[in-house]
Amino acid sequence: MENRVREYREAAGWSQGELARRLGVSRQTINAVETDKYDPSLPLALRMAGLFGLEVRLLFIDHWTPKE
Amino acid sequence: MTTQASKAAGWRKMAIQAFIGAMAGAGGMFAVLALIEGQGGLDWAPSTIILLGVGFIYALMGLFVGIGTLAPRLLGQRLLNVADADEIVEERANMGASASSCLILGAALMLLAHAVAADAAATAALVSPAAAFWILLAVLVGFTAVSVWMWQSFDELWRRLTVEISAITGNLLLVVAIVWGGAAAVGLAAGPHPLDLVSLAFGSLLFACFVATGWRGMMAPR
Repeated sequence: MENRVREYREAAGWSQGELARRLGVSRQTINAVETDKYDPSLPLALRMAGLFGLEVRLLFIDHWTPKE
Repeated sequence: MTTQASKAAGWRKMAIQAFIGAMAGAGGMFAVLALIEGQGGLDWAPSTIILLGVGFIYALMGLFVGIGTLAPRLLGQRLLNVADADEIVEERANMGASASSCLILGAALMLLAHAVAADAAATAALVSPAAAFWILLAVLVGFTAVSVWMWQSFDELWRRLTVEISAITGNLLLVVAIVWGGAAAVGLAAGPHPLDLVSLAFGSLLFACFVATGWRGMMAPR
């Protein structure tokens, strides 16, 4: 799944460590999410979106479309 | 730092880490081979050599992580795959526990290999094979307790990783046990030596750690 976490984190002027601290996760988690190696759980995705003041679908982009 | 410069620095750091790791590994293996060649008054069978090798890798990993954790700014950020020294400081408790566990576990495995090799040569060893086994068992209980303690402080990525590592280890053991056991039962291969099972279990766990962390991009230079 594609995400824009790095973009919004950098726009907020936060380091990976700072974002990790605010979310209560490890820095490796932020790194893994930003590099598309890990899709966060729904609660963490909601927290991330809440922190940036966004809807989840604007932060995490899924290109899935329903089959006809 | 630009992204390109940062990537180049990451790869340079990884090359240094690989070089130091290779030098330490090669040095250790030369020492082990010299010991085996001279036998050192012991009877080193292939199964004891393999167990010694697995123990050596655990001990070496524990040593590197331990040194890096004790001196994050001086050595840690150069030796370990972290973004900077602060990351080690943040993860100090878990990294210290992992390093100690690996170091002690590696030493216990090497002690068991040494005790069995000494016993096979009817030579006095540091401890008897039975004592080495009980030490390994005690270490294993401690290792499990540390893992449970670490689980409490893990975030969701680390918990997922732990589950993936367990799954890979379990499946690997299942395949090897079925194929090796089956082949040995019908006379297609020699059956495993009891020490092979110990090496296989700890070797599979080690292999699974590399596969799972690599899969999650945690082996990529940072």
